[in-house]
Amino acid sequence: MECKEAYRFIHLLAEGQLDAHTNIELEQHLVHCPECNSRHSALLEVYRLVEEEKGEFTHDYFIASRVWELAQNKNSLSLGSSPPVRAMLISSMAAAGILLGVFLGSILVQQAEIDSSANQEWSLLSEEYFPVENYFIPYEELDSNH
Amino acid sequence: MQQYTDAELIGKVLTGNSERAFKELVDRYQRLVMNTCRGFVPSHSDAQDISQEVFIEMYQSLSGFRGEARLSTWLYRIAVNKSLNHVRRNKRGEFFRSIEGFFGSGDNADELAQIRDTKTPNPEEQVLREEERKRIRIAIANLPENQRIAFVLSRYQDLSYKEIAEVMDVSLSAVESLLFRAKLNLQKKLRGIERSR
Repeated sequence: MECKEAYRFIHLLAEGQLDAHTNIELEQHLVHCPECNSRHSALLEVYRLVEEEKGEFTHDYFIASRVWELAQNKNSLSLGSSPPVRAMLISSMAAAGILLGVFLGSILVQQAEIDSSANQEWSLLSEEYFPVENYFIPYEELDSNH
Repeated sequence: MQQYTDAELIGKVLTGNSERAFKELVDRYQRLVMNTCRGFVPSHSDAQDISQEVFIEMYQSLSGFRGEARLSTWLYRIAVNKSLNHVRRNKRGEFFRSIEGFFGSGDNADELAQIRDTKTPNPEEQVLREEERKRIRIAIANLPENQRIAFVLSRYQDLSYKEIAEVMDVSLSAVESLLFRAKLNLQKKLRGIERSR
C-alpha cells in the first residue's frame, strides 16, 4: 500500500471501520512508514481528547432555573421596551436617505431653473444686439433659390 | 413527573408558560447542548455560558418552532451558531490581548499556577499533557468552519452522516467530504504529537 492510498484509510482505522483485509494492509504499511504512523497517532490523540472532554460533562441541576429567570426577565424587558435598536437604525437611515435625495433633487431643480432663466436672459440680450432678421441664414437662401 | 413528549412539553410552555415543562426540556437536552458547545470552545465554563444562551434562545424562539424537524436538530443549529458567535467575539478580544501581551502587561505566572497540580506525582508530565491538549484544541479551532461543525457533530455528538446533513442542511456527500477533509487536516497539523502513556 502506498502513502496516498493509506491517507484515505487512516481515519477509518482509527475509528475501527476497516474491513479485515484493508486493516492488515494498512497496519503493515504503518509499521514501515513513520509519516503515516505519525498521522494515525495524531488522530488517535484527537479522538482521545474528544472522549475526555465528553466525559467531563456533569449535569447542572441549576441551569434550568437560571435560564428560566433570565428568560422571564428578558421577556418583561422586551414587552415594555422600545423597538429593537437595529430596526430603528435602519429605518432612520432610510428616512435620512430619502430626505437627502429630496434635498439634492430640489437643489438640482432650482439650479436648472436658474440656468434656464439665465439662458432666457442671454437670448433676449442676443436678440436685442443681433436681431435674427439681419442674419444670413444660408439654408433659407438656398431653398428660396430653387 | 409523567414522561411527556417534546411536542407536549413545548405545548405546555407556549400555552401556559409552564416553568416545569421548560425545565424538563432543559434537563433533557442539557448534555446535547453542552457537548456541542464544548466542541467549539476551549473551556468548560465557556461551554456552560453558551449553553445558557442557547436555552434562552430556545425559550424566546419556541413559538417559531414548527415541529417539522426534531427539537434536537433545532437545538444543534442554535448551539452551533451561538458557539461560532462566541468564538468570533473572542477572536476580536484575543487580538487586543495579544497587543497587551506584546507591551508586557500580561502575566504568565497565573497560567502556570493553573496548570500545576500538586496532587499528580509528575507535574511536568501534566504540563506536557496540557500543552498537547492545547495544540489539539488549536488544530480543531483552526479547521475551516464547515469542517469544524461537521467534525464536532460527528465526534462530540456521535451523529450519523444523515443527522449531520440535516443539522447543516447539506447533502450526505457534502458531509462525507467535510469530515474526510477535517480528519486529513488534523492529521497533517498534528503529526508528530506523541501518544500519551
